[in-house]
Amino acid sequence: MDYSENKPIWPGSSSFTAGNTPFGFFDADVIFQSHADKFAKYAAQHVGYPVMDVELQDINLYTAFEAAVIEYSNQVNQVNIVNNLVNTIGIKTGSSFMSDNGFTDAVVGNSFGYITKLSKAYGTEAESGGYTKWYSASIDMVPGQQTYSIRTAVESTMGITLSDTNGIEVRRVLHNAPPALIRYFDPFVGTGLGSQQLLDAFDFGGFSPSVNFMLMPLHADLMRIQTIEFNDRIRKSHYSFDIHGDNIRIYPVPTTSGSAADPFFPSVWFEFMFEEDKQNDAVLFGNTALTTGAVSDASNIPYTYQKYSTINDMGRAWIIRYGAAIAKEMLGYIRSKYSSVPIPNGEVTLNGSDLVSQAQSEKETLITQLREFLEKMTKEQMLTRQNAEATQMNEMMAKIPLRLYVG
Amino acid sequence: MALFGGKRDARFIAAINAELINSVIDTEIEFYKLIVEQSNSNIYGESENKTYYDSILIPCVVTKDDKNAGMDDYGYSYTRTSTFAISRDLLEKADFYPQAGDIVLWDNEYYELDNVDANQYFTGKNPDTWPNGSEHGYSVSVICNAHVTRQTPQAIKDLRHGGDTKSPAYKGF
Repeated sequence: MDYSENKPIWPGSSSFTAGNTPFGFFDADVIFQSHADKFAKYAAQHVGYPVMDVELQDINLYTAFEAAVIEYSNQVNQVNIVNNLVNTIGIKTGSSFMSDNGFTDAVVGNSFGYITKLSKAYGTEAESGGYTKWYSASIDMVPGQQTYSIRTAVESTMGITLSDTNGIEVRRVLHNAPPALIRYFDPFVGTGLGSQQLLDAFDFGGFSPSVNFMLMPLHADLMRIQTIEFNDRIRKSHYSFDIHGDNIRIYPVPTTSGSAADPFFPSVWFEFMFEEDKQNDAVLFGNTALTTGAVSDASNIPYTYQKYSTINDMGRAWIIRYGAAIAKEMLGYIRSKYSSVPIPNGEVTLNGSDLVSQAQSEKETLITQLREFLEKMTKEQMLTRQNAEATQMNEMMAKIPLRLYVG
Repeated sequence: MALFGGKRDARFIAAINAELINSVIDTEIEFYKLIVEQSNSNIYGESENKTYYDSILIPCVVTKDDKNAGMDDYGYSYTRTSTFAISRDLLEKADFYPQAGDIVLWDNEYYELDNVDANQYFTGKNPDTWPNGSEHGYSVSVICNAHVTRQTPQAIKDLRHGGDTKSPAYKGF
């Protein structure tokens, strides 16, 4: 076998065609096609060609080039995601306004959508809105019976059968003492308030045919009502309830009849929500249409690889340097597969391990530089910088003499 | 089936060898192939007039041993041995195989080959003889052991007329 033919070394030139890269993400890009061959030449010459043979072929170098563009896109998109996830979370990935490239190459504005949705969850807990629906059910009172099953009341009222996983969260029990006002005669009618004697004492008693009308200060009414309530609270069994698990205990003990001071209540209503609804709302943000195909995290926010043709020269410079480092690493791995290589009557050790360590160091440095640069591009950092700029500008402007007129 | 030392690896080794021998080491010996048919021998198997082909240049790795000098009744003389390791690929490409009795000119000394061997194999396999096929292994070299012979090998240098009779060497591959 003649091993002198088809040596696996860089021949000095190449001709890129679509399909030469492993993934082909950028193969259709005309600029990428053109630069692929130029990059191959650059990378081969970067590691010694034509003075030394380079044990790489065109497809190795194309692979390095594609990998470098992917890495660059990945780094840029990481910053994009940090910037824009909060503004895009919950957006359907198939939205009509979105291009095939998702948010890539698009300017994503600010939105309070996520904050609004998040605040609705607080609204649910604070009983000031939210997505979770409230229901109401009633318990028919049985004279002498204080304790009732909440789940039974819900099932009978709503005509449903609850499963073991249907939790109920009671938000309000509509069981309060009757207002004191119902036991308080019309304050404009002086009857019963002792005001008649007062009028009689001033000989005003005969001015009205049957009742008298006397304007009293408002605090007189409030004090009377408060007195009635205090009396009920301290001296009587007050209207109240306890909830323990599924049981609700009603106070006072239900009776068959009541009085003005202690009214009869045939049923007690309560308002509640199903825990399952609340959990679902937490997941769905109150919109079941968003269960699938919506932006939820960094893994599905629609950022695609950057188009090579739209990457600026600074980005391309990074790609070329990173790709050359990848090519060097490849060459290092190839040269270090065997610790020594036989030559006639001896053996040599190649520089594979040196190339690998150098290439890894170069890659790490390039990644660090790019990360540090991109992290200055986050919205947070840009606003901070703008703020500093504005502050400095104000300081400088303050030093301009005022009212200086030059005729 | 072996996992390592396949044809791809062999080609890689061959490429490294070719670069090292041709571009890095770059030492060429001048090789005179004996024409056995025109070198008549006597009844003792000795040939008084040997004939050689015109020389060819072959790159190789030379290991030149130290000189052993001696003085006897006939005067001063010395001996020296050297090893010429040639890439087997080059020889195969030139369709050339060195044999004992051939002459090598290197560093102004003529050497006569004593022994020729080809037993340096990558991953220990000779693809021409490995029972599991020719897809693995690589025969790296042909090693020629030689000794310094007299400085006027017959039919190469003509002392009687001065100068030599050889033609300019040409590349053997």
